[in-house]
Amino acid sequence: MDLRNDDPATRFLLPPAAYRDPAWLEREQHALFDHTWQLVAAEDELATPGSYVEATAGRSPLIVVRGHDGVIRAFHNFCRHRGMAVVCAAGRTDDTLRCPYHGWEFRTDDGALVRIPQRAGQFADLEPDRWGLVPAAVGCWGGMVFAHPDADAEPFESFLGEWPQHIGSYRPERLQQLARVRIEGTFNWKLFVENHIDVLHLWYLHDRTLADFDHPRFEHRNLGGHWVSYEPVKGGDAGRAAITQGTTPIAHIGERDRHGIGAHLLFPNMLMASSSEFWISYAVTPLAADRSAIDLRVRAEPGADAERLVAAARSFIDEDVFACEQVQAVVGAPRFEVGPLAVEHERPITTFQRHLLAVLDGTPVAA
Amino acid sequence: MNAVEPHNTAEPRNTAIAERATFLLPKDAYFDPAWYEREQRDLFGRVWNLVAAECDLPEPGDVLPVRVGADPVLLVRGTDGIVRGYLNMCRHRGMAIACEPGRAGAHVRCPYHGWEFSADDGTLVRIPQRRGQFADVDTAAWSLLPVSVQSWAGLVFCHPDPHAEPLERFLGHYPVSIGPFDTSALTQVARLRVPLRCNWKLYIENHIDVLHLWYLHDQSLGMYDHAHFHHGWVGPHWVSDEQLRPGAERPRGGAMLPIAHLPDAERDVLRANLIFPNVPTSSSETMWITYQVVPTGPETSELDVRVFGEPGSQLDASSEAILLSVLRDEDGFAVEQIQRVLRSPRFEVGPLAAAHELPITRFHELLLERLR
Repeated sequence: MDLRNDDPATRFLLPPAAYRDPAWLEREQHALFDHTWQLVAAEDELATPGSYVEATAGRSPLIVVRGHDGVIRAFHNFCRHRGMAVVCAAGRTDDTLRCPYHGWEFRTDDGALVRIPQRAGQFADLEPDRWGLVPAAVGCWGGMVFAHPDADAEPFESFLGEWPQHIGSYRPERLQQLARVRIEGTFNWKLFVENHIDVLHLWYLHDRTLADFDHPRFEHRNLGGHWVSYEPVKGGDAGRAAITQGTTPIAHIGERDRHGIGAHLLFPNMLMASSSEFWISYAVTPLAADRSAIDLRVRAEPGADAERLVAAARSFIDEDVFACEQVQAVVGAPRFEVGPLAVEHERPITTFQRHLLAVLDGTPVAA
Repeated sequence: MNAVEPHNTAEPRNTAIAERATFLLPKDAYFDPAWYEREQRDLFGRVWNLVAAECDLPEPGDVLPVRVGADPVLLVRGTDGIVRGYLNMCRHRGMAIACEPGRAGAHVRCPYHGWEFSADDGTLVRIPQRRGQFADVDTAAWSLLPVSVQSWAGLVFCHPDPHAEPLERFLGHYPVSIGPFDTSALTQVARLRVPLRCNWKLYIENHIDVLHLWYLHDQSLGMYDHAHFHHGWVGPHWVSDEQLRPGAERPRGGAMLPIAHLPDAERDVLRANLIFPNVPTSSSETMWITYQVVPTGPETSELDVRVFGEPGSQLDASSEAILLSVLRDEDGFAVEQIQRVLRSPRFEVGPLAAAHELPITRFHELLLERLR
């Protein structure tokens, strides 16, 4: 294959402003995050009917709640009366969600407004049908709960597409969420995504933390804006034995996954990684043009050592955060520009940017 | 009830316009920097603002820098004991004359080039190196620029316009509509500052919302008889009162002493009032408090609480905790929660209670009249 660094397929498409200009973020919020699926919870957190968590999808604060029929739903988290957040933490309720401000109650199972205190005297002509909680869409996969601010969003299954068939033998729903950690950093969210799908940096930034893996045998592919990858452990049987020593391996995965790792992306910002002992998600969301939050969730076999797994994940995530913060620090320099990209190992960055630009421009991605 | 309160009726009596409770402000009024600037200029820059208590500058020559809307103001207590105000801006190069509270004496001196102004009338009284450097300067033309300053009930108010209507006319019947309190007999026993992550208007709207008393404050104010809550407008100001429920126990005052001069009928009354636009006041048997909501940004403000009580009173830890549990942990919590979700693209305010939230509509009208 004859690949060139100036091939349109491997070119850095975004201007420096995309990483530092609040107007860019505003555009991304409007065109992208207000209308896309986001990872908002783990099914483990909604184990019993009536249990709920508070979450955010883009700029929309949401209540994610398991109804008494067992179905997980999401509603926009503001009371239809004066706009108070109906819930402000995780918890468990009965048949209704009650706003603490003026006592309006909404039915847990469909968000309908079912009680207005002092209705006869103060709200006589109000039509309760009009003032139910605003619904959002919910999709579940792998024990993870996703939400979309639009109730009539494209079905979650069509958003996932073929992606679930390309992540190996993992069935994350058979694992438990053992830990959740929030990490904040001073970098634009896209830097963290681009770093995640950059194959080249594995050799250098992670030369120690990911040294056990055979980067020349790294396989990866884009599925639309989503991305999947796999690389095996180095060193034959000895390497294979070393990597699982002292761990609680995932019971259900096949031979190949027991001796390798994967890194995946659900477009635009839901990063995942898999190993012989964990499935982690670490979605990155923008707090400002130059600040982001990472929501690290670790799934593993019940009884695995959660603290050690978090440390294992953070060994490379912290290196990624470091690199992104260093790039962010210079992205505002007047003469900052990105140079040539690696023809193969950085090509996913170009693909990511093409998909992002297509959403921002409101046009389909060019083939 | 008290004879001095002609304005309190069981039905809300609005000074006219609003008949239907409606939320009139758009949501960007609560986060847009342009709205904030406009309010600073056209509302706070054109109204009487609470800026201090008399006890903040007790002695002649005391100075206190404050902010009134967008204007920096220097309050000065003259040698004649009267508090006056000037733009805190030297007429030479514009330096702030004082950046900290302090005692200046008969003259206030700009630290930059030493120009001195009279504490009593702001006239320019000394220019160092005048003969060599400022020979033809007519000192009479370069006095400090005055603003209006007047006091009521131990509170110092400022209006940036030197020709503002008198404070007395602005307050109107308010001082005689808030119960039989002789504030000159009380002393400031505590001042607390509470930062809030919300636009100032949300806190005011919460303050004049009668409906939330039953729910948000179901425990903390459950001893009062909300069904007989009286409230009404006195010009742009709002007053209210409610009684302890029959048989309910009067809240304990801790080290706050009962106010001696109150008639017995007042001892079971809780009042909540508003000096337009941003100074809630309230009173009980043991305290008379102001809790000004000072805007510090489009989405932040500071609650500046002053507690006045019978001389010898103390706001001990438990009384302070009770006070803050209502003002900060309940009211502050609710409005911070609204601010947090306000920027959701789908956020909107719904129907308001016909009577119990009507004051919010009136407050919005009063704001919009001034911002028009």
